[in-house]
Amino acid sequence: MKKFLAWFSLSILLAFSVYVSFVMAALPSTYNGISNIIVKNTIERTGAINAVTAIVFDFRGYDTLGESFVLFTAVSGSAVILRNYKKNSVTPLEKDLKNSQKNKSNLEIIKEIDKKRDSIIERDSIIVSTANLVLPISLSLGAYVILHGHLSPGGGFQGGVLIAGAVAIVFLAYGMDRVSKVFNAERIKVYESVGALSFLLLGTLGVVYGYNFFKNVIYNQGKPGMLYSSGTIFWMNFAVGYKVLAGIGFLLITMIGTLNAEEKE
Amino acid sequence: MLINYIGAFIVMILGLYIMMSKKNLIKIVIGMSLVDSGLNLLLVSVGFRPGGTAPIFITDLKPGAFFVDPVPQALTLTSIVIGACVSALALSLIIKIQEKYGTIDADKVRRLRG
Amino acid sequence: MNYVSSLPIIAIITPFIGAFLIGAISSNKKLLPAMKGIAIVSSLVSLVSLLFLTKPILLEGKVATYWLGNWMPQEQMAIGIGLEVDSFGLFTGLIITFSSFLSSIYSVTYMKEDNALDKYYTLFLLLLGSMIGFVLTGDLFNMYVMLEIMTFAAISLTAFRNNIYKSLEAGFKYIVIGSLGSTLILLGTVLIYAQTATLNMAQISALIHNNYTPVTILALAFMMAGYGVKAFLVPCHTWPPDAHMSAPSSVSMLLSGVMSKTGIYGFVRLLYMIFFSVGMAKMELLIILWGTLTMIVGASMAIIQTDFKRLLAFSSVSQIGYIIVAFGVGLSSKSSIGVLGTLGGLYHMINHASFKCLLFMCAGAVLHATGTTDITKLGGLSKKMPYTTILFLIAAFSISGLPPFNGFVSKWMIYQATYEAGYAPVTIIALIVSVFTLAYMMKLAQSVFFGELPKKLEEVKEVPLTMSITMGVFALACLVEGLFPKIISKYLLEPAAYSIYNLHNYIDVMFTKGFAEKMFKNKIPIPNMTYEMAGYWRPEAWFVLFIVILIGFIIGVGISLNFVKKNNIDTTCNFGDKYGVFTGGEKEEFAPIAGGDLFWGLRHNLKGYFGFLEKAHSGVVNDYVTWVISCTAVLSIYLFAVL
Repeated sequence: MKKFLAWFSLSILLAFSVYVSFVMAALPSTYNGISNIIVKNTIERTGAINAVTAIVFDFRGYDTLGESFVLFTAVSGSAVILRNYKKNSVTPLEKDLKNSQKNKSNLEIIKEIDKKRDSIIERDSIIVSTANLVLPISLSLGAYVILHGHLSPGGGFQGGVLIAGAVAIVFLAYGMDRVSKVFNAERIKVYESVGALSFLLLGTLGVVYGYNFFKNVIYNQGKPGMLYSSGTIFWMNFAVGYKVLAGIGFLLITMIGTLNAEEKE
Repeated sequence: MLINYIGAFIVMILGLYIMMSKKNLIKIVIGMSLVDSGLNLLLVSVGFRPGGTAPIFITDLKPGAFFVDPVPQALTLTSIVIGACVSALALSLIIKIQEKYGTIDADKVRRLRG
Repeated sequence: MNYVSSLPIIAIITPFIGAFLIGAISSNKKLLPAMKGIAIVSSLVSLVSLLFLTKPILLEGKVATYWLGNWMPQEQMAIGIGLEVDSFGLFTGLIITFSSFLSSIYSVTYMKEDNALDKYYTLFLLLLGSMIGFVLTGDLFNMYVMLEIMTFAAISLTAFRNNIYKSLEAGFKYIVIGSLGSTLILLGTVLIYAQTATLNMAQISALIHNNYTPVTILALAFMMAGYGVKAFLVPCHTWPPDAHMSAPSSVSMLLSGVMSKTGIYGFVRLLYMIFFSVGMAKMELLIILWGTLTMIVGASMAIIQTDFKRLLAFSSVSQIGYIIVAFGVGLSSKSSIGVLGTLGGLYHMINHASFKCLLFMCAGAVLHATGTTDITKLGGLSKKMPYTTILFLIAAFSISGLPPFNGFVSKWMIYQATYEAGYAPVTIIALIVSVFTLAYMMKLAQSVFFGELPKKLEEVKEVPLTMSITMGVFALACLVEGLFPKIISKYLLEPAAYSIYNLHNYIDVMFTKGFAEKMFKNKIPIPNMTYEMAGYWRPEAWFVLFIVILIGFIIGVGISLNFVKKNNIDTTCNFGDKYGVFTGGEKEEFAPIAGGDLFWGLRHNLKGYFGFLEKAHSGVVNDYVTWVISCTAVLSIYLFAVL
């Protein structure tokens, strides 16, 4: 019965989708809606020459604000789910329930094998030398992409993820103990909140000048096409890049930390 | 373009089929990520104009060049980030389920029912 | 009529600023009271700024607009994002902020014993901010982004107590089905953008008015299924029973009482404004049938549950069915009946938020005092917790619709509206479901509060002061809404219903005056807000209703009368393997037969029906996904055939 329902509904959806795609391909282009006006206004009113970045950070900047909040929520949620739970007091019925919920899985055996394997293997020399070469290149490429968001394809989100890959490279080459010595997880979480607060403060700059929220008030400093131009878009790229690299770095450290949880205890 | 739209819909329906019929929890997460990829492909293809270039005002722009639609590209940026966040949350839940239940088979992770 | 104010954006941004401030000081463990203070102050600021907006919007009928970044529309096209607050949005926003403020006070003592409390308050403020942001916006893609923040915060709060296995499994099922619903909503948005080339809701409703192409019909089918997942309609209702059972109680009341209202808000905006379908008989038939199915399935599943909070979640599902039926009647073409249906739906929204929050707070009080929510293990708590018992009985009488409380007024409006619109079988089914509601509330009261006190629960105490104050405020709200329906209807509900039908004003304030008349072929008539309620204060009608409820109750109890005595046969397999043959050797969570179950006889007589429903909720994730996709397919077949 369930198989029949699955096949039936999927084939109906496929039939309707193919029909609608034929109709959609014959529609007039969507450029003649709001995009026409936006592209005409891009250089005079915002000073950026990349139209997509101008839309993301200026015309529809409120959506980007919401998207960075989504990233913050997902990182906080993962930190909450992967923590060790400690409860401070026990109520009467719970004492009985605790005794009846001991899980015996053969997880212990697998973890012991992994621990032995980690201490036997030496650090592989190919991986270490490649990591030594790739790490500075990826860090500088990420910084370049964040800086030039308004001049070429790129921006805060893409560059931030490139820089956060440094955590994964260090883990693959040097192991978990070096990661926990180099990166301090608590402080990275605080830096992420600082980045988000600075993004919000740049949005309220427009209110100080007397306009509505999120207005780009310093857009005419510098010529369009130079590195320092387009007003608040330049600073917002930094804020978003900083927030993304702190958030994804924290996420990677937390997930890697669950792999060797037994070693610390 | 027509071939893009049909391809995007086929990728989405394949992702839905994986979510409906595979029992391993990690395969269900792969199915969710396939549905997101198909949706991003559909979103980017909506703004295409045959013969257009990327919407950046570079200094040596050919005369008579016209741009493709930049608004769906901005929407796709947001959608990609949201898809990555869904995968991150789902995978951390699977790590903890493996610790508590000892298995990641959907037929055995069903103590809440009825 | 053009009113520009920056109070909406203050109400949206303040909870987010509070969340980031708590994140910035989170490494210092001694500042925990400061974090609780930040949470309470932020929700209070949002509540106050929305209260300042009531005078212009609700009393004088203006609509507040705010263009972000000062990007005003040029050449009649909206190039920026605009916030637009009319009376319906403000009404929903007041429900959200009021409930969240009381929940933040409740959680100060309720969550004293967990760790990582700084992350709890961060996620709580993110949930509040995203709900307000969803309700006050006027842009279609912005609604999707706020919906995603809401979903992620709710999933993280569901899996908060991650030492109990139930939370993790419930969280996983929630993320699979919830993200499927959001994907369907985004798919509908993409198809609408391909057709109309704009993302502003007012402009879209002007462009596709009475002009249905195949692209927009498929978009409507996807978006209705997506909002159905968010607003617990059958068959997409399989995630709330697991999720509301496992979340901490101060969060469960928000998930069950308030998040469902945002799903209904999206549904109503879709049907009444974007795809204008007032006056179409086929859409009215679809919505009324869908609501009736939800009512029946929710109430039937609630009778056979053995867990306190899971039963309350199923009763939420059936009350949402009432609201959807009422909004379906509001689509009818006879204007006076339509107005009565819409008013009934709005009144039931605010009533359901009040008594459902009170019920979950009582469940939280019981859990805090005894440590379990399994009703086969509880009993006789009225001797130790008398205050909680009285409040629980007030909420139970409100939900079943007994006279001086608020459930009676809204349910009476819904009965009258469905009867006069010509759907008499729906009225009879609604009455029977009301009797079932009273039945399972009495089952809960008997199993948990009356009866015999087990030996392990001898030393439970009454709830602390902060928890009881907040419970008392909600009980007072229930009483006030039941005794003064005329005043509430005049100041709160009629402006909201007027703004739902007033599509011209909604479009005009974004652009220029007269824009809507140029786009539409003819002017849409706004119905008069006059109605009369049949026989509300006439004693004969009141008496007949009471007799009907009493006869139904006696029949229900009479069928299962042979098992109402205190035969506390302890069959939970403590005797060892000698009796394992009779119960299959299963432990306590799989053995639903207990001595204190009030409706054992009814359940035995209707074995086939209840057995089918239990097998349908099998607990496997793939089956739940199959139900959602088949609902989408059926909707698309129906809409393509009709429009």
